[in-house]
Amino acid sequence: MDTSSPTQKKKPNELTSTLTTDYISGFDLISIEGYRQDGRKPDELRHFRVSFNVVSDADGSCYMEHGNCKLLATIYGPYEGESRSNQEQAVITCDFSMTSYCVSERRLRTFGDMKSQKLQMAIQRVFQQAVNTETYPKSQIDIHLKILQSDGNDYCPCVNATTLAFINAGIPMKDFVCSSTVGYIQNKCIIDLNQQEEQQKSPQLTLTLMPQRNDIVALTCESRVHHDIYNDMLDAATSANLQLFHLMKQAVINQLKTALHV
Amino acid sequence: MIDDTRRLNSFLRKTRRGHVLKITHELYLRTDIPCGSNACQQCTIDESTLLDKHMNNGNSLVSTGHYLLVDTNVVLQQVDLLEDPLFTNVIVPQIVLDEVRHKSLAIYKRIRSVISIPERKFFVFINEFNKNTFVLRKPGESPNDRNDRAIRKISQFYNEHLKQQIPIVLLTDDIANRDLARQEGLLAFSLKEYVTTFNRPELLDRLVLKEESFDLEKDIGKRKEIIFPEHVPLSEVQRGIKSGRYLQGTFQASRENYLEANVFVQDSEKYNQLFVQGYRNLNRAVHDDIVAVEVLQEQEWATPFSLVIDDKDDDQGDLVIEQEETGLVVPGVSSKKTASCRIVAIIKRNWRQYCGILQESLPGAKFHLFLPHERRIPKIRIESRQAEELKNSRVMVQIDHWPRLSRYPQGHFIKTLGKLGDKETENEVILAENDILHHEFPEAVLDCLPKLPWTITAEDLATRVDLREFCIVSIDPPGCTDIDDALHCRTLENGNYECGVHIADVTHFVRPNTALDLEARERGTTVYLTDRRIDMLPVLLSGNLCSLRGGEERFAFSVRWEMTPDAKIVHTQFHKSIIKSKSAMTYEQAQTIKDDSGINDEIAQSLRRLHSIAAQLRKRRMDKGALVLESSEVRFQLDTETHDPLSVMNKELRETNWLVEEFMLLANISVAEKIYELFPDCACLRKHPAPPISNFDPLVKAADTKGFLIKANTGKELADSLDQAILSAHPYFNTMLRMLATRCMMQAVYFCSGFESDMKNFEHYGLATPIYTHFTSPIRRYSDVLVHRLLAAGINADATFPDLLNKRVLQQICNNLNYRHRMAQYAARASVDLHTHLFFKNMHTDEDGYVFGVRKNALQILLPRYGLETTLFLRDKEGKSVGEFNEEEATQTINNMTIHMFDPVTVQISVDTNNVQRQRIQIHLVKPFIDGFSVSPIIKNKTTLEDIDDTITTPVKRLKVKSSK
Repeated sequence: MDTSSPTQKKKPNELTSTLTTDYISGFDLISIEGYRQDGRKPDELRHFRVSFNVVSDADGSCYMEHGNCKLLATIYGPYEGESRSNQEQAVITCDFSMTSYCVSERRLRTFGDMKSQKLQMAIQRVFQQAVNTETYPKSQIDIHLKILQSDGNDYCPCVNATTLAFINAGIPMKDFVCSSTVGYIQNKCIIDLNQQEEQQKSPQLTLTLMPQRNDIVALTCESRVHHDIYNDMLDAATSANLQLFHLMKQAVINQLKTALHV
Repeated sequence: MIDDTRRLNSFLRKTRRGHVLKITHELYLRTDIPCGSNACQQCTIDESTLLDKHMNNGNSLVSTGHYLLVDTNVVLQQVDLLEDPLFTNVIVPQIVLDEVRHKSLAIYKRIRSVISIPERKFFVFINEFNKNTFVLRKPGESPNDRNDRAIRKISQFYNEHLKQQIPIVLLTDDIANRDLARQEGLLAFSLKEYVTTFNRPELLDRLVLKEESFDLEKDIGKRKEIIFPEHVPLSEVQRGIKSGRYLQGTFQASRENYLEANVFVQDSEKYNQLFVQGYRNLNRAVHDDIVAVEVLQEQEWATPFSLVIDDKDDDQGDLVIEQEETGLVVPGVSSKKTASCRIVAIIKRNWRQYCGILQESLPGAKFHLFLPHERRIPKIRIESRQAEELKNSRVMVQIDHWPRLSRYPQGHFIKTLGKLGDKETENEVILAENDILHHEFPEAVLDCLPKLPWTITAEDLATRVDLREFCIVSIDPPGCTDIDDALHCRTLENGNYECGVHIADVTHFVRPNTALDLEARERGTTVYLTDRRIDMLPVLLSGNLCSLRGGEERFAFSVRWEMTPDAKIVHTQFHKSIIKSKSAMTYEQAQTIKDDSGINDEIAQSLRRLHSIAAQLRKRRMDKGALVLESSEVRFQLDTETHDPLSVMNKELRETNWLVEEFMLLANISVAEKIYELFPDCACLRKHPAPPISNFDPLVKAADTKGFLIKANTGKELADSLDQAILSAHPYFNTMLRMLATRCMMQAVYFCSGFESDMKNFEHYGLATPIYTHFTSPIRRYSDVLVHRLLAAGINADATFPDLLNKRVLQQICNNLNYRHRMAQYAARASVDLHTHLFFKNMHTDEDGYVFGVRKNALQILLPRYGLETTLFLRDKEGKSVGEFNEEEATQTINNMTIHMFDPVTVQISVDTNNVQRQRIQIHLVKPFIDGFSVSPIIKNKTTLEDIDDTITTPVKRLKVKSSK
């Protein structure tokens, strides 16, 4: 019990000390030469890899690796819905869960917590808009998302993987939906944050975009940002989404080519 | 371009709760990292390509032009040498920088500043992200070995990459690494091997000696066997601190006795301050180090010497020598024992570069002793081959380490500052010792300045209130070029007054986070030395564009109050403005205009109104318990050409001085209230804590000798009792009491309001105001710049920026400002001392003074005419002490003549030139005449003050010479 007291009392001392080490030494996320901790430049995405048709029972499926994040997205449907099937358009449901081993400290609860519910809701809303739901009246489409390994933000890879799974399922959509994060660290915008960068207390912004229509589907920013910086961040997020879009498109084309033996 | 190969770095980490986590980081390897050489055909060449195609630095070891590749140990230990312009075309690997940063932030900053100069051609090679130079740690390989291998790999890479055109020389002081590199066919040398071939002895002097490389037997002078106890390893220290066995604290060596010190303990309820005495207990701690201490058993506690020890070399009195030889502590009288401790380990060294001189040693000796200027630093042993040349100069030395078997720390020579006794050299010493940043403003800073001719644009006019027609005047000391405040006062239609304070709008020119801003932030304050001013901002701003000169249009930040004629504030407003000062007056001119009833123009009326308001403000403040404190303030009249002091005068205070002061205080308080209201979490404020009641003991005791009772429970009580303590026969008595009171005070400090939970702690004791800040001098204080920005952002007069609301950053800046202010004060004081010495150098004169303190073996004498306080040692010609000390009544009795505190005396002043390092003013008693102790008076040449009229005074603005506690 006694050992805790010195640490508590340190606080006032910290203020009076003349050491300026604290805020200089907090290791730079971007080095003076302009590289991030993992060797990327501020405007580079993490490693991105996709494979399709990984779950043969599903109508569409996609396994995605984005940096250290690994996840599985599967689509079931459209099928005849139950209670809400009298509607004029398809109903989209989302089921999000994580594995207990997906983060470094083992999780006890893998689904249904506040965070998962919010994420489910967000994804459901995004795709309700993006999918041409009026094509399938009185029917239902289920999205199942499973995080195998997490690397910070789960929402963005979930959106991207779901888009690809929808395409894989052959369900018509208005456009690709891409999502990416942007952080503002050391007076620079850096895109596609990994977990380490995300843990910094710096402004972050998540943008979900339909790149070909240039429509913003969703945008969240939970920190206080000055409007000058905000515009820069939005520009950086858009360009990140465009980069991502090209990768996703390339993945779809490659998949088609192999499927058609071109 | 990112290569396809991606590495995963996995490691295990233990959390605070004891869980073990596996953490995986990605690592992307690239192929697009440039090598930085102009001789390379593959990499893209841009402005970051620094390394020359052809070069030769004249090294005979490698005769052709070559690139140097430095190892971590070279940077860490020999950064002094690397800073020499000889070293160019150096490749600094990223891994080396990372390791240096991890080990020492100070050295990291220094090497970074070398890298930032393009002419030096230091190239940072990113090896860890480069596919060609990345090395994976082998199983069983230590991280150190892996890093060494990575550095060798870089050398290999460059050889292949540049197709052997330019040899790469690996500099490493790690013998194993050097030998491995040679085995692999690489060129590798230790720094010493490399530097020796240049044939420049001063370079070798700057080489840091390694522990194994010096010889204990060949010591200089009389060697005493001092073997220090071993320091406890750091891991054990941490455990000890946790368990309460050891305490952590800051080591403060005694100025008076080098075998005594105090440790200011952090985080202990029992002790604030612990006393250390004796060589073995001090155990190689140097002033300012962070140390771990162990409290001694109560029977081992020691007593501090209350003697003022004269600092003549090797003349410390018998007791000290004895103490030194036995290494034992002085067994004290039990009642006076102080809680004592011994130092068990050094947690952090805070060594800096020290100024001083070399002690004379035998001709041809290799090792020399260095005497630091700062008394609290021990002598330092250095190796030098140029002792003859350095004999009469001031040199700078850095401590490297302090081995157990050595009596003195080991160091190395850095540079010479100039000839001993030269005013220029001595000024350099003052600046260096007080850590005053006085380099020329770098190019990058000057680039931030506006281009001349500077004009006011229509946009400026639109955003600012136009006050050019107002009758605004500034009042400053004569010769002042950085005018940062101006005033006005006019009557309104409803009979009220409108008073305004207009402050130079520095933040219009100094934009946040520019090179100019960062430089000013680092400097913190303008430093006023007696013959020189070290500006915080370049002179174009401080002396021109920001200075509110008479008759010129300038930008200002205005505070305007509507006040009733009896000085009650009705309304306050803040805005940015354009002003045109009607006149820049001196205090004297303003006083004349105000007092001359014949003059009745706008300026005179305005001044009279300001005066009446200020008088009421002042009265109200005094009633609340604001203190009028005295400090001896002197100004030198300097020779126009040599800048040698010609005469000294006490600063005169006129009504107009406090007129300006009152309005500045009011502006500061109004702004403090406003920014605290706008930004309660991150306002930059200034507080002056109430001193603990025990601080006043010396004052109470001194007043008691004359029968006055000083109460000091509150500021108000203190102010009142000081007002009553007047001896009609002794007019200077009250002033002296106030000077004593000044010394009881705490330091006023800047702080960020978000870190102080209770508003009670914001109080400014001296000014008796609940909240205070600095707003009125942005040209010479960075704190005011911060406050300007906060206020401007709060009233929508300026753009915001990210760090504006970052309270941690703000607190860090405040800490730096507090430090810089303190140092600036010390430097100003040292400068006055220097000039006092110069002034008395060729003078032998009698002066009237007062006894200002009674010590065991000395009297403190205050000379009001020069604001000088000196020590009169009570010793006869043989050095035997005379006088009987009565501690209770604070008297000294010499030959039946008793001298009391505050007694008037006459002393003879001269400069003692025996000790070249520290020339000191020496005084002898003239009156009262005591046989065998006093000297006879000199009649002639008593004063030189009246002789000189036509000299100019220096622009010393508000120079305060407060004596240290």
